[in-house]
Parts: sequence; C-alpha cells; structure tokens
Amino acid sequence: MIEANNLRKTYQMGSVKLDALKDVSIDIKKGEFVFIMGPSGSGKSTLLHQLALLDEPTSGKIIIDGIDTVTLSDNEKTNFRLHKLGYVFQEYAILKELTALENIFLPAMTAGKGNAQCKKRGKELIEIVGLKNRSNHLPSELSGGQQQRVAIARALVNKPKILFADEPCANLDTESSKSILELFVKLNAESNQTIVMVTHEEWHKKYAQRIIYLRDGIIEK
Amino acid sequence: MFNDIRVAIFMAIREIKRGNKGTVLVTIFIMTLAVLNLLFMPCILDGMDYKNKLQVVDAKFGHVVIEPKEGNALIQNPQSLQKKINAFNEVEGVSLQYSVGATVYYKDKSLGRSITFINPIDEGSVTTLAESIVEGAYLTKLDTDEILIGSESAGTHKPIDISNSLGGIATGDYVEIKYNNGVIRKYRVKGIYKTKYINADYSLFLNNKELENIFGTKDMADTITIRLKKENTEYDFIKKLTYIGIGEDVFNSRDRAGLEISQIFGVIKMILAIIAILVSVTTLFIVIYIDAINKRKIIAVINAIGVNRKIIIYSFIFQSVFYSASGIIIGLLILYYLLVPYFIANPFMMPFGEVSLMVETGVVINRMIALMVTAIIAGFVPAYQVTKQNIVEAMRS
Repeated sequence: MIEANNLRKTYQMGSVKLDALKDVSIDIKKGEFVFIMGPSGSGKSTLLHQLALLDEPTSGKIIIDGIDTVTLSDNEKTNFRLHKLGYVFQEYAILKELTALENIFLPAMTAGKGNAQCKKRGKELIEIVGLKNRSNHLPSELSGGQQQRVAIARALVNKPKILFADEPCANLDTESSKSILELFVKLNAESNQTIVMVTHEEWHKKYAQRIIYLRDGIIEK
Repeated sequence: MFNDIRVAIFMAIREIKRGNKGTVLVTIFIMTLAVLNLLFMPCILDGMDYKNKLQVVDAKFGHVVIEPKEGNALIQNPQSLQKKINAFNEVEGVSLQYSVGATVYYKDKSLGRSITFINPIDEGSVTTLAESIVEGAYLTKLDTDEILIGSESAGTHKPIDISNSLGGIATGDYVEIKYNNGVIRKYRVKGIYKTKYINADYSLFLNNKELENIFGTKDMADTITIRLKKENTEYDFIKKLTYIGIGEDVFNSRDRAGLEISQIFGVIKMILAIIAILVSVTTLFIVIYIDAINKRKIIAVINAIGVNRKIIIYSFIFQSVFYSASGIIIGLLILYYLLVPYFIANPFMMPFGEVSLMVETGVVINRMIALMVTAIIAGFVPAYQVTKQNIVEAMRS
C-alpha cells in the first residue's frame, strides 16, 4: 500500500542543515495497523507528513497504491489526499462553525457527493464512532474525546485507502485515549482499514500490529 | 468549479451564521456607513449642481442663450432673429435682453447694478420672472416708468446680504438711475421679485420700450434667451441653429453657467468616492485578514484533508461579498427611505435655491459595482496569502 524509498528530509535552519529523515525506507501493506514511535525529535511526525503528502521530501520516492506521489502537482496531491487518504490530527482540528455531522461530511461534499448522499454517509459514520445523538452539536458542545471521534469519522467519510493519525490521543485522558485506540482497532479489524499512527505513549503499543521505531531520523527497528 | 462554489457557500453561510455575531454586525454597520459615505455627499453635490442648472434655466437664461459674436457688443438684427427662432416648433419662447451698467439711487444709498431691458411678455415665456414676484406686480407691455427690483438689491424678503442692497425698498417707492451715457431717470418700483437664485435676484428689469428714451433705439439686444418645449433637447436645437447660420454665438445655458461648478463637483465627487472605497476596502481587508490569520491552522487542516485552496478562497470572498452586499442593501434603504424623504421635506437653503439629495441611478449602480469589486479583492487577497502557506508549518503555528 505504501512504499517509501530512501526518504530524506533536510531543514535549512539559517546556515545549518538539519536532517530530520536520513534515507528512510519502509513498506506498509494493505490492512496493516502500524505505529511510528520514537523519542521526541526522532522524526516520526516528519515521516508521517511525508507519507501523508502534507510535506515534500528533500529526496526519495513515495509510492501509494501504485502511484508515484512525488511527481504529483499541488492540486493533484490535494485531490489525492481527498479521495485516498484520511487524517486525524493531535488537536481534533474540526471547524467550530460546523456541527459534528457537517464536519464529517465536508470532505464528501468537497469530493462532489450530493447533499443527501453526504448526510447518509455522515450519519453512518457518526453512528460507527458512537456519536449518533450528538450529530447536530457544535464542537463547543462536545468533549475532547468526542471531537476526536468526529475527526476520525471525517477522515473515513471518503473511504480512504490509508488513515493517518498524528498523535491522536495526545490531548485526551486515558479513558478517551483507550476508546479512540479501540475504535482504530475495530476499524482495522472490521474494514481492513490501513492505519498509520504516530505515538510516543508506550502503553499504546499493545494496539499495534507492527511498530516502526525511529531515532535521529533513522529506522532503529 | 460548480462544486467548489457550492462547498464555499456552504462554509461561508455557516461561518456567518455561527461565527462571532458582534464581528458580523460591526462589519455590516461599517459597510453601511461606507455606502452612505460613498453616496450621500455626491447626492448632495448632484442636487446642488442640478438645482443650480435648473435655476439658470428657470430664473435667468432659459435653455439656450445667444450672444454676440466675439468682438461685437450687440446682436445683429435681434428682432428678425427672434422671429426666425420663434418659427421653430420646439421653441416655447424667445426673449431679447439688453443689459447695461448703471448706478441706482434710493434715499441716501446708491449701488452699481446691471439693468436689463426686456419685453415683459416675451421674458415671461422664457423665465419664471413673472411668477417670482413676491411684492407688487409684474411689468406690463406698456410700463416704461416702472421697474422690477430683485430682493437682493431691494434689501427686503430675506436677502442673503442686506449690506449689499438699497436697504429696504417697498413697491411704490421711487429709485433714480444714472446710466453710463449720463441720462438720469426716475422709476416707480412696481414689483419686487425673488427667484431664490442669487445671481438673478440682484438684477433690475425695465420694459425695453424704455430703451428708446435712453439710447434712442429699441432694436437692441446683447442676449437672446430661448426656452424649449422639451428638456434635454438643447444640443439638437443648437445644431439646428448652427445649421441655419444665425451668425452669433450659441450656448447651452446649463453648460455655460454651470460648467465650472460641475467640474469642481466632479473632482470633489471623485475624491470622495476614492476615499470612501479605500475606507471600505481597508475595513473589509482588515476584517477578512484578521479572520484568515486567526484561522491559519484550521485552514491548513482543511487543506490537508483535501479541501482545495480555491474553495477556501471562494469562501472568504463570499463572506466579504456578503458583508458588502448587506451594507449596500441597508445603506440604500436608509438613503432612499430615510435621507431622501427627509431632505425633500427639509431642503438646504443655498444661494441658488433649495437643494435636496439627487440620487442618480447610474451613479448608484456604478459605485455599488465598484464596492462589490473591491469586496472581492478584499476577500481574495488575505485568503490567497493564508492558503499559499506550507500546510505543516501552518499546522504548527
């Protein structure tokens, strides 16, 4: 599903060059639930950003679902992200002026789905994430865990090939974190959803099928 | 494209409906003020310009003025020319005038004034002089020893500058006039007129039969004024006069009397319009820019999840257009249903008459289009700046 070869990401900090990723190569199969872990500054979020097409690697190749993504233009990448990838971020990142349901179906609407179809798909997902009775609530009326569930539902609305999650439990308490991780496990098991998640919490490890450890921009194991 | 607009409108509506109500209301209020700022003063200036030109027609010159060719003091064969002009179907009336400078004496006061000789009946068919009598009566065909005096010279009927008058003449009083050729004549004041057009209200009028008594001939004119049956037909009529070759200078009286003031008003209106549009575009730009900067992170996120930049930019433009359109609607309602009726009921008193707002639909449409275009620019620029940022950097901000 994802094939990354010799990924290198170098940041120019004034006159100093900082290599965040040093020739990283990974292969993630369809249906895998993979964690990227490592200490702070190890390059795990940087790797996720490259794999998720949110940033451009300095060099290297990323092939997703058979497509060489490095050659895509900005617009093509946006379109690719819309149709083939889903995202869950650390800070929920849902629009405060939209209800839970509207936040969920926004990407479907952007993809050109009709209003009825958008609402139907949104309602299916809001039920899956356990917020059926909160569909018309604004984010300000939802807890952090509930907002993150909305973000997960939004990430799934266009049936993505891969779901990327960047420390999705960082702002949640343990109970909420558990429920989010269990939801990921359920999605992975029931829908064969490929999930790539960044985390630094050791206790999360038990939910992963495979863990990629990074240290100083290199895969440690 | 259609879908991008659909999503952008969806987002913009929710942003306006569920965003900060105070910001929305204040922005619409400022846009309303911008609209009024853009239209109110120009409407007053247009009202002044219109009234000034209208008064030039009604109180002084009619629609078309004929004057001697450059270098001549008098019009050649004026009565014959008058007959020729009267033969045109579109002509309502033609009046011959001859004006001379003279000194007017009343009691212990004296003033230098222009005395205009007219045929009272002909003059009545061109200007509103006969209807402007506020005391006494208008001249008749036979009056030669009676005079009409404007209220500004008479010093009665609320003159603007009483010190520049004869200090309070009433009908029945006598004035003495000393002409430039040395002839001195005494006239009984038959009537006092007030056209409310200050330039006209300084004049004194005598029957042109009196010309013979003073200058030895009555076929003298230095101005021919013409009233047409239909408004805004001056240029066509002037073309006809030029075509028959009358041998004198012909003017559209509105242009001649109001050209300078129209040009000044035009410049003022343009400056005011530029300032008003700059104020509105800056206001919108600041509102949208602050909003966009505050949303840098969420904009990056929605771009990350696949909402393309065009949708985000369109959404900001729709918000800007909404603020602008709301300001325009409220501003125009205030203008048409509050300010215009108020100023019709309570006009400004100006030296050329009572002035109220004059709203020209063409001007309103042009300015509102300009406002909408600037609203689009004010929405586009900040949104474009924020959406072109790097997604990861913006999410970390």
